[in-house]
Amino acid sequence: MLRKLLKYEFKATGRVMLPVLLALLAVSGLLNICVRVTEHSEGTVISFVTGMLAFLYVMAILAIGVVALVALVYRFYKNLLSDEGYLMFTLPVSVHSLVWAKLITAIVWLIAAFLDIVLSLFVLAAPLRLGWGIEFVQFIGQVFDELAAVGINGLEIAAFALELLLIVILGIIGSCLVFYTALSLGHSFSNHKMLLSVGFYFAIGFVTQIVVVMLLIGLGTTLDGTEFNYVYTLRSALNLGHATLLGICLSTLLYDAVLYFGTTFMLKRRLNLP
Amino acid sequence: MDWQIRDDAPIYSQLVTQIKLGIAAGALSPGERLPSVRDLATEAGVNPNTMQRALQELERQGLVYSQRTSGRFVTEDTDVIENAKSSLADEQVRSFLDAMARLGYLRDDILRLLEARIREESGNGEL
Amino acid sequence: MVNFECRALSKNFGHVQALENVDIRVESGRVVGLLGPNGSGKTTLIKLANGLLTPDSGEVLIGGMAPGPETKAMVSYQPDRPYLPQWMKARELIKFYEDFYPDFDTARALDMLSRLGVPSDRRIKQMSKGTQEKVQLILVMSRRARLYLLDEPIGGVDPATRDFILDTILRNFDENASIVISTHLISDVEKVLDDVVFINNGRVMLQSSVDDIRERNGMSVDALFREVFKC
Repeated sequence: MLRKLLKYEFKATGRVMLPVLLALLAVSGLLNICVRVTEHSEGTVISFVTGMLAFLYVMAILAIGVVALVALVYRFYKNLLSDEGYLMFTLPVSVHSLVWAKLITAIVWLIAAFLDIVLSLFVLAAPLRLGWGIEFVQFIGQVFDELAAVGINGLEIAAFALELLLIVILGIIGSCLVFYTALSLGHSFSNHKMLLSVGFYFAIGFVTQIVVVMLLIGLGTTLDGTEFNYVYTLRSALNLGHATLLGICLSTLLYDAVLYFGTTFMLKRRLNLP
Repeated sequence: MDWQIRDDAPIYSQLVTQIKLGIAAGALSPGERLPSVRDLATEAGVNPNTMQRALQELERQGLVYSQRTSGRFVTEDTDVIENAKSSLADEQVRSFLDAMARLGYLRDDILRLLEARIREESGNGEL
Repeated sequence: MVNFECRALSKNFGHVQALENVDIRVESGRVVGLLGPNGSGKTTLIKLANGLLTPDSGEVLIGGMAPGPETKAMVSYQPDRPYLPQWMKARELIKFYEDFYPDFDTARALDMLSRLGVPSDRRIKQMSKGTQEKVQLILVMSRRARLYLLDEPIGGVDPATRDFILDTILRNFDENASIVISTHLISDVEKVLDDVVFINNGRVMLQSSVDDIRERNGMSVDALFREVFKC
């Protein structure tokens, strides 16, 4: 059933997301052409248009993540907590499937938005010269060689990359789930649903900060009390790095799990459609 | 058949009366096969369970009979049909007399009115 | 077989008692009218049966089970409001229902769509309110469900469509299924009902068969309703 839900989820969100992503590519393409034209001519109109496009492009890059997030959060509200909820919550699927369908589409579109920005940079730089690619690969190879020379091998780098990727994905899930939790809390009331949702959003942020600060203070005092015979070696530094990243991973996972439980609980037991 | 459901009596008993009327008046001939319960119900715009109950009542009164495989039929027993017809006629007369009594007419007045009416109608018929 | 049952069911919203100690049983093969004035608790009852609300006490059972994905596969529900995604076309919605409900009869849906003259490639957004209601009813009545829960199904449609809908209900209704119709337009549906449940201020006031009411009171359910709920 999750697959069927995803099919309709991508259909529904694609109507908004695809044009947005294509628009960025279109702007970068146009900007590319305009820059080339201005290189060869001195027209005021064309330089004005180029300036506008450049401004638009920068704004689009800055906005695209926000636009995507807003579109996806709005989708959650519209499809599950407004009148459409009558359709979705009477389908023979579990609440977990409904939430996962929303989460997975959100992750995919946010990653797609990131890749879209990268792609737009390439479009801006087009036509690409093969030499650049070779230089880039050579540069990366050089970096790897130098790291290997001090004893950091490819496996190590891959592990770090994986940990960072995990943090990014868990972070995206978390930032979506904060909205989902706030919306499902706010909409469990009969009146002022949206206002309460906004309130819950800030309340969750506030509570999270307090918990994080308290945990850090706790960690600090624990470490303060313990005797360290920490010998600085490359190995120990790398281990500390891994430990920190994995610690962030785990705490983000825990954070996500709490919010996920909150969202599904509210939708299962406290649903109150308008 | 033209189905008319009034507000003041159970629907099933009105269905019984109307089907009986159809049989007595010959709209449904002796031995004729009746449509299925569902079709009759849809035609009358009533619930199939109600139609089923009406048909069972008619069966009890001997006006229709069912054959396990081929459905329900109007009885071929003309005596039963005649009886039904006369009891329907009796009912009509009784309710007419009741209505006239409520209007304050006495038996003689009623007879006089009836005779006048019949004479008038047959007179019109001759014209 | 009991398709739908409420046992001592209660639900309140804050201080408002929406349902109080409601007991209802609907057997298979029955068409039941859930009748009551606006705000009497009809919609709350139907939402509870669909798992859209959670009871405060008591229970709701569909085919013996509490609401969940399994019962939702057995229930065909028509909410009292437009609930279809506005951007979807009638044709896409038929595919949607076909995808999620194994008991959905696509041929029947397409047939009803053409008989009611609804263009299948038009978006819900572009349809009049009455046409939207027709699409909703087509989707709901094209399922071969065990329990149909219809919340004010004939509220906004013209008399011809209303007759078509009632006709569709009578014609396609399977004897193992049950239908619960909530409405305040009683005279329109009275003839298709087996039983009625009168509900007021969240309480069941009367549960009876239509013919028993007519026999006992010598009046139609509609007339009795007007008498019971006289303002």
